[in-house]
Amino acid sequence: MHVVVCGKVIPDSSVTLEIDPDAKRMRRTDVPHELDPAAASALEEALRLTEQHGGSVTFVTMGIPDASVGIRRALAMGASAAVHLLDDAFAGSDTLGTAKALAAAIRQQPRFDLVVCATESSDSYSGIVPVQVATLLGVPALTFAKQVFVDGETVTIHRQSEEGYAVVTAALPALVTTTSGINEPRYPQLKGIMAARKIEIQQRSAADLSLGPDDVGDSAARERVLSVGAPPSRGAGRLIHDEGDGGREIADFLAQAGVI
Amino acid sequence: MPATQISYGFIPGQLVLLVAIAVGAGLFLRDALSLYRLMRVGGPAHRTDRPLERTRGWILNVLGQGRLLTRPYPGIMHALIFWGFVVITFSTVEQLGRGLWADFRLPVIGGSAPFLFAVDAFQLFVLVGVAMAFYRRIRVRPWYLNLTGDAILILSLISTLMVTAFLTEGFGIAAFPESGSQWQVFGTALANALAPLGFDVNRAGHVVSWWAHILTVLGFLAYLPHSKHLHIVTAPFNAWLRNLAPKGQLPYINVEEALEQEKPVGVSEIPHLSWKDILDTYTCTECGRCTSECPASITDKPLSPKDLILDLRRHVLAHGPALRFGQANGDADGAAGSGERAQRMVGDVITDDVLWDCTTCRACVDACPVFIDHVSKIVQMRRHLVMEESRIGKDLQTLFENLDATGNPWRLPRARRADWASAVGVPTLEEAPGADVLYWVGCFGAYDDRAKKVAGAFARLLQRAGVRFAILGPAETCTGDPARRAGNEYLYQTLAQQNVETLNAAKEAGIKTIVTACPHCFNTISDEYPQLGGSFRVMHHTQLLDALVREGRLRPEAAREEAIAYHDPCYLGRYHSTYDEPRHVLASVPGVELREIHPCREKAMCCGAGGAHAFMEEKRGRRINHVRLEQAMAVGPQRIATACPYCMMMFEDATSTKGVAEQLPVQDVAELLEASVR
Ligand SMILES: Cc1cc2nc3c(=O)[nH]c(=O)nc-3n(C[C@H](O)[C@H](O)[C@H](O)COP(=O)(O)OP(=O)(O)OC[C@H]3O[C@@H](n4cnc5c(N)ncnc54)[C@H](O)[C@@H]3O)c2cc1C
Ligand code: SF4
Ligand code: SF4
Repeated sequence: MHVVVCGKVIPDSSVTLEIDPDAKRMRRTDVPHELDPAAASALEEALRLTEQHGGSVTFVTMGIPDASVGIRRALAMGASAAVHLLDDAFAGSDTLGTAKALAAAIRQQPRFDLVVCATESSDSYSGIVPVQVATLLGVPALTFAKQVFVDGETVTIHRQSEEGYAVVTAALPALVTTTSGINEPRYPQLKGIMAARKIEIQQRSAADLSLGPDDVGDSAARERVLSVGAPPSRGAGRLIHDEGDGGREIADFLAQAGVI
Repeated sequence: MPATQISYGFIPGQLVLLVAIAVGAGLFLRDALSLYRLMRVGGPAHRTDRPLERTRGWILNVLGQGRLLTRPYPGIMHALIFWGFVVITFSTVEQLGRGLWADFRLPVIGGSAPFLFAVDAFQLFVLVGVAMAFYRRIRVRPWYLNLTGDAILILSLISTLMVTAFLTEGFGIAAFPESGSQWQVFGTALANALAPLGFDVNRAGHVVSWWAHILTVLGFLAYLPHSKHLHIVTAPFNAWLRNLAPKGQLPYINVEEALEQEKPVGVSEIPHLSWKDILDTYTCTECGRCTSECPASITDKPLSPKDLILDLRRHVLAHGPALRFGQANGDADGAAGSGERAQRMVGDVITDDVLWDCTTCRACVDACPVFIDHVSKIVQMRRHLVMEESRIGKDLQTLFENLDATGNPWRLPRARRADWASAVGVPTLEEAPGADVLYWVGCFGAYDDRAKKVAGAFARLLQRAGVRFAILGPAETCTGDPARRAGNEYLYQTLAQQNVETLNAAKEAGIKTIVTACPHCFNTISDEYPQLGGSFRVMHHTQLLDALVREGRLRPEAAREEAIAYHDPCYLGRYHSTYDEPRHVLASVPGVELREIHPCREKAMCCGAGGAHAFMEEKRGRRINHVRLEQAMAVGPQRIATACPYCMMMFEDATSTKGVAEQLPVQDVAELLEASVR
């Protein structure tokens, strides 16, 4: 079974993210990057499936040169190949552009039985890309999986819902998106880290994927960001020191606010 | 007149003795040789450098029984038996010699008055020692000592040896008065008592007890390799071959190279141990001193350093021979025996829990009278768990990922590393090129709210004393101590290499001394970085503060009428023998009354945070920091002082869970000094 995992490499969670007001985007240069923890879960699930049923995992990402940190991480965890969609032409892609690039890269694989994505990315979490990819590939999309099972011909998931879960089955090839709590991604073994260094990351440009300015990049984007800004900061809270009448003060305050 | 002068039937006595010696010594040599060969299954260890220093320590601790005597009762007990055996061994050789040739005499001492007297006296001393040992094992029964059959057998054999020696002497002198000497004080006294029995009885008694003595000696010899008493052979070697590397230095391994050549990066099988590790296991005397001081054992966790060594010994003895056989046949895969799967050394024999319980406090290593090194074995087995198996808990995984991503344990932004310093006006090295002291802040000092206050106090003291110092700011990154001690040598080396480069550059820029308020950083930079090409003059902040107070550059004046208990951090005390400087600083504050916690100094119990435990949940047994706090509270202090951010965290956690945080504040030595300096 050959599984393709699509995952993002995002600014490290230790970094305070900043918005570039002119470009209306997040600043991604000069900040440390890491493999999106949501993508790590998707990869973990794929690795477990191939460990059980045999096969291999290819990791695909579209991103800036710094994304290589996360790609190495994915390889260290156990992916046996990686494709990096790296081209200035991809910059400014919207979700559909991203999905087109990913789908084209997946189609170039000699074969795939399953695509695993995280339901939504941890940095911009629009949660749209995976279903777009599935549509472009013409395979069923099984989303919000909290458990995944495969047997030769089919994939079955437990689809998380508010009340519980639904059991959904589809024929392979298919695409699955995983929820964040699905597993505990492994800490890569040192052998894996070392071996990962020897694997050559396959870089693909837009041209390699036969995609043009109408498909990807800013020029193709149909979503436009009109403005970005910080959420209004909340006013400072009021601190009540309890000197015996704290309860009353709080009650008065709540009454004033019309809550009680 | 030796008992071998008599013939037994047609067989001459000498021949019987010769056969007995051949059997006893033969069995001993056969088994000793196989133990030696088994030891050679282990990997290399270089332990013959600095012979003078080795010999000096050997004289002090083997001949002088130095380490043993740190505990009076068992120390004196052992010394009596040990010194007795040293003297009596000469007499035993002489007896065996005379058994073969009637007029054999040891050169120089043989038959001399002082020798005869000494043998007599020491036989008695040994009996006293054995009586003390029986009493201790049967009546006192310390919790860390097991009453094993082996121990009872050994003590009984020693008693038998001494009693038969006295009887041989007594009966012999009674039967042949001219064979005795007045210097055999006890022998002669016994002979006088036995004389009335008449010549025949005395002669027979002499013959019987002589044979009983000699056969016990030879039987003992044959039994030795199967007993904890083997230490009488191995301990002298083990002591001479002890580890002389700096105490805080773990064994180095080139991780990348080892992985490329598919060599192990940790210890998980017998051949991964060094020959010295195997010798260590042979040498354990089962005395339990290590366990009695181990914070994990004291708080009822699965780890007992004694059992760790004994379990390894059992494993080596059970599965080593097959390995040796396998090796001889060119089968190096190391599988012990065929059929069912052998027990894994790491995981089954030594469980993961046992390995993770260790705080690397080094109490065991310091306590062991025969110089066994537990900590390096534990860390090397952890290396296997971490780097080869990835068998680690969530907390350690988070720690490693955070260190890897941001160079600190909490994944806080690198750029924020010097935030604390701007409020105090501390420059970075870039901003203060003329500095000659580098203050290594460490992750706690840089990010932890409590430790930041200590960093501020220390920095202000340096300013007041006019020290030209600077910090590295964002160029500093975790020393790698928690990673290394948790077994992630690869991550450690990545972090350390970077720091060594930074520090070497700082040295070029004129930095002469590095000072740090964290004993863990202190240890790593001073003891471990030399392995990676970084040799620096490093001071702990208490050492520098002590010097500044002495030189009059800091004058503590404001009085503090308080009883303060100082807790010794392991990596400052046991690892670097720094006990007095922090106490001097505290005592320099007028009015302070120092209270010593029991145990303190060399024997101080760990706070529970070392060996990456500051970042791990304590899941088993009682809480180490609570036990240590109780020990501190027992001496009734009004304040606790320490000199380590890890200890600070553990104590504050304990005082707040016990609800005594208000009454019993915990402070760093630097904070207390600052409050007093005017
Ligand atoms: C508020 C907002 C504004 C935006 N504005 C613009 C805009 O102005 N112009 C524009 O061009 N685009 C814009 N985008 C879209 C943006 O480019 C997408 O965020 C991006 O393409 C991927 O979206 P995501 O991370 O939210 O994907 P999600 O749909 O949340 O991603 C889900 C999963 O899809 C896979 N995946 C997604 N992206 C990649 C990738 N790069 N490589 C590999 N796998 C991937 C991963 O498995 C991921 O976990 C906007 C998005 C949002 C939410
Ligand atoms: S180093 Fe400390 S915790 Fe570890 S085994 Fe020794 S005494 Fe116990
Ligand atoms: S390891 Fe050392 S201290 Fe511990 S029981 Fe053995 S001999 Fe005693």
